Amino acid sequence: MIAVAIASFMLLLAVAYLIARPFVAPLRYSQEAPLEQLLTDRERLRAQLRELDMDFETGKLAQQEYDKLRARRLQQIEATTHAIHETEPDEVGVGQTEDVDPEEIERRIAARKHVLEELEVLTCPGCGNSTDPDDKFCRRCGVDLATTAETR
Amino acid sequence: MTLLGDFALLLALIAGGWTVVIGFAGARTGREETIRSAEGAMKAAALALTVAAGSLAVLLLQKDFSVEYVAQYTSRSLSVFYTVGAFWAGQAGSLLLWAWVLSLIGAAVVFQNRARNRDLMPWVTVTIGVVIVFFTILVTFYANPFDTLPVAPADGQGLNPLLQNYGQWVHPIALYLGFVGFTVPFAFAVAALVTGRLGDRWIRTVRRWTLWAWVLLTAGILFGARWAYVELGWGGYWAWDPVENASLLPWLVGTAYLHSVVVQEKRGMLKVWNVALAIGAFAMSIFGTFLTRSGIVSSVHAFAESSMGPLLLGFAFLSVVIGTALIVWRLPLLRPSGRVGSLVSREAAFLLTNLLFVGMTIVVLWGTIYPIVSQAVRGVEVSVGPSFFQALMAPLTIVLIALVGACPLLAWRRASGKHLKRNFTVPLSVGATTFVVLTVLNRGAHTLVVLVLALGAFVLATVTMEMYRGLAARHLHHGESWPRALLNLFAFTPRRYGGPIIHAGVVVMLAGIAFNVGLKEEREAQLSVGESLEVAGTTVTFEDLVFEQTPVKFALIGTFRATDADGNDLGTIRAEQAEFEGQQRVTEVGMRSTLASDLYVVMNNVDPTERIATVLVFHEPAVFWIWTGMVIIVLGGILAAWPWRTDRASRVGAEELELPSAFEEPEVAR
Repeated sequence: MIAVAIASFMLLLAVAYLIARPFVAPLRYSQEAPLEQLLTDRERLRAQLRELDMDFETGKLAQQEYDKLRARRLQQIEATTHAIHETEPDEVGVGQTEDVDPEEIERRIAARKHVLEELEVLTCPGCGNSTDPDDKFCRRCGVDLATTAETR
Repeated sequence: MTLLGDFALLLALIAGGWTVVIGFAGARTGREETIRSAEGAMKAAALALTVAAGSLAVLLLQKDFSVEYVAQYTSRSLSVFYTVGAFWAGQAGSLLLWAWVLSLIGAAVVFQNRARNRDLMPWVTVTIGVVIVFFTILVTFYANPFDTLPVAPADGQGLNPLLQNYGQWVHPIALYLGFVGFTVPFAFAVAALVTGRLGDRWIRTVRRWTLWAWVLLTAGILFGARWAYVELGWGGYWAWDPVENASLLPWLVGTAYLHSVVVQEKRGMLKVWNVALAIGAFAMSIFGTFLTRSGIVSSVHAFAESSMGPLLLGFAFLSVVIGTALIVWRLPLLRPSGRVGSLVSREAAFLLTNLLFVGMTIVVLWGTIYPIVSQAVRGVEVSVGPSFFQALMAPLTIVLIALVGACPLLAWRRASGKHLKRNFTVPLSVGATTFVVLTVLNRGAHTLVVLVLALGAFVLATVTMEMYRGLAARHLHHGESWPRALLNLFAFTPRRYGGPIIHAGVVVMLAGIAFNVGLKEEREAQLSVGESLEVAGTTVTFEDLVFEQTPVKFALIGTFRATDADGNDLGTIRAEQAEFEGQQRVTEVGMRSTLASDLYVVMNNVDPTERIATVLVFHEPAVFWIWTGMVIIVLGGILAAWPWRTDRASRVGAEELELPSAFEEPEVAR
C-alpha cells in the first residue's frame, strides 16, 4: 500500500514537472543555424539531382523533360551555394571541391545556356508564364500560343 | 496495484486534456512556452499510460483474480507467455494497449520534431492529444481493466484456447501498431491543412511513420490469415468476415496514400487526394475498431464485443467531417502545381491506382455495412457472402496487377511512342508468351488463373528490368562493380527498390490465391477407423483414434495416412478435437504442407465409442506461395521503411543520400 502511494506520488510529480517545466525554465532547442540550413538544403538539392539522373538513366524521363529539370536544379544549387558564400564567405567553400572543379563549372555554364534558350522558347508571350512546347493556349492567361508561336 | 493503475489513467487523462486545451491555446497564440508545455503534457501522458500498462502487466503476472479482467482472461495453469498475452485478449486491455502505444508514438513525434516543423507541431500535438484523450476516456470509463470483483474467485476463467497460439503475440500487436500508426499522417495532414502549409514537407516528415504503420498492418493481416488457416479449421485464410474487412479498409486507403504521395513529391499534384487519403486511413482504422468492438456484426472476433460502438463510430465520423471541412476550406491552396499532361503518363497511372484502391475500399465497405444498413432501414436481415466480394474485387485486382506492371514503365509527364516501345516490348512479350503457353497447356481451361499468372509474369519482367536498369546505370555511369552497384542501389535508394520487391511479393501472393481459389477441392465424409476418402488424387485413410487427457484438456486424436494416386505413402497426419477445461470445443487441424499444395484434415463430431467421425479434407493448392508472397511484401516494406541513414552528422556532406526528389520547387524545411 505504501509502495503504491509512493509510486503514485512520484508519477504525479513527474507529470507535473513535464507540464510545468516549459513555463519555469523555457526549453531551448536551437533551431538550425541559417548556414547549416543552407548546407542541408544544398545537400538535398544535390540528392535530388542524382535522383533525376537516375530517373533519366533508367528511362523514366524524356530527354527534353530531363534537360529542363536538370538545368533548373543546377540553378538552384548554384543559388544555394551563392547564399552559403554570402553567409560565411571565409569558411565555407574551402574543401568543397565540387565548387571549384572546372569541368563542373563548364557543365553548369552549358546547362545555364541551355536553360536560357529553353526559357525563351517555353514562355508565354502574353504573361511570361512557362508553357509546354505543344500547348495550344497559355495555362494562365489563355493567349492562343499557336498563332503567336511565330513571333515568340 | 489497481489503485496505481486507476490513478495513472486519471493522470493520463488530465495530461491528455492539458495537451489538447493548452496546445490549442498555444497554437492560436503562438506562444512558445505554451506549446512546449502541451508537448510536455504529451510526454507526461505517455509516462502515465506506461505506468498504467505496467500495473496491468504486474496484476496479470501476479494472477490477482480479484481484478475482473485478470479473472476473465487468465487462470492458474496459464503459462507466463500467454498470461502476458492476455493483456490484449479482451476489450479493456486492448484499448489500454492502443492508448499507451499512441501516447508513446505521440511522445516520439514530439521529440523527433523538437527543433523541426515548429509551425506544424502545435496542431499535430493537439490532434494526437485528442485521439489519446478519446481512447483514455474509453479505457477509464467504459472498459476499465482495473475494475475489481467483490469476491475474488479461486481460479480465473482462462484464456480462450483459440488465442493460445503464438499468433496472439504477433497478430493483434502488429494490427494495433498499424492502426495507431496511421494517427501520425492524420495529425500532420490536419496540421498542414490548418496552417495552410500544404507543400510536400508534411508528407516527407510522416513518410517513415506511414511506411511502418503500413508494414505492421500488412504483417498483422498476414498473421491473422495464417492463424485463421491453421487454427480455425474452415480450410481458408480469408472469408470476407467483417472484422477481416475492418483491417483491410485502412490497409487499402493507406496503400493508396503511399502511392499517391509520390506524385505530390515528384510533381506537386494530387494534393487533395493525399490529405483526403491520410484522413481516410485514420478514419478507417477507427471504423475498423468500431466494427470489431461494437458486436454489430457476427464474426470469429465476437469475443471482443462491447457497448462502446456508438462512441467509436461517432469518433470516426467526426474525423471525416472535420477532415472534409478542412479540405473544402483549403481547396484554393490545394491546387496542383502541375497537371496530368497525357493519359499515357505516370501521373495518370497513379491517379488510376488511387481510383482502383478507392473502388476496392467502397466495395469492401459496402459489403461489410450493407447487412447493418439493411437491418436498420428495412428490418430485413441479409448476409453478404464471399461471392459478392470475389465478383467485384477480382476484376479490380486484375486491372491493378496490370497497372503494377505498366506504371513503372511509363514516363512522367508524357510517354513518347519511342519510349513506350523501348520500355514495354520485353515485359509485354513475356506476359503474352506466358498467357499463350499456359492457355495451350491447359487447353483453354482455368482462364482466370492463367490470366493472373500471365499478368504476374508481366509484372515480374517489369521488376527485373527495373532492377537491371538501376544496376546498369550505376555500373556504367558511376563505374561501380555489379555487386557494389547492387549494394548501393538498396543502400542509397531503398524506397525506389523496396517498391518493386513489394510488387513482386504481391504478384506471388495473388498467383497463389488465384491457384488456390481456382483449383481448391474439398470432400467431407463420415468415416469410421479403417475407412478412407479421396480428394484431388490423394487417398486419406482414417487409421486410428486415441484419447489424451491432460490437466487442461481432454483430446481425441485421429491419425490419418495419406497416399498419392500411385499408392506411394505420403506420411501420417494428426488431427485433433479437444475440449479445454471450462471452455469451448476446439479442433486442431491436421496438415501436410508441400510447396505445391497442402492437405488439410479436420475432424468433427467424433464418437469415441463407435470410433467414427465426420472428416473434412481440403486439397489446398499453392498456399505456401500465398505466405511466401506476403513475407516478401513485408520484407520489401521493411527495406523501404528502414532508417538506413538517419544520423544527422553523417547526412550533411555525405556522398549519397536517400531523399525524396521533387521535380517542382522543393519546399525548404524551416
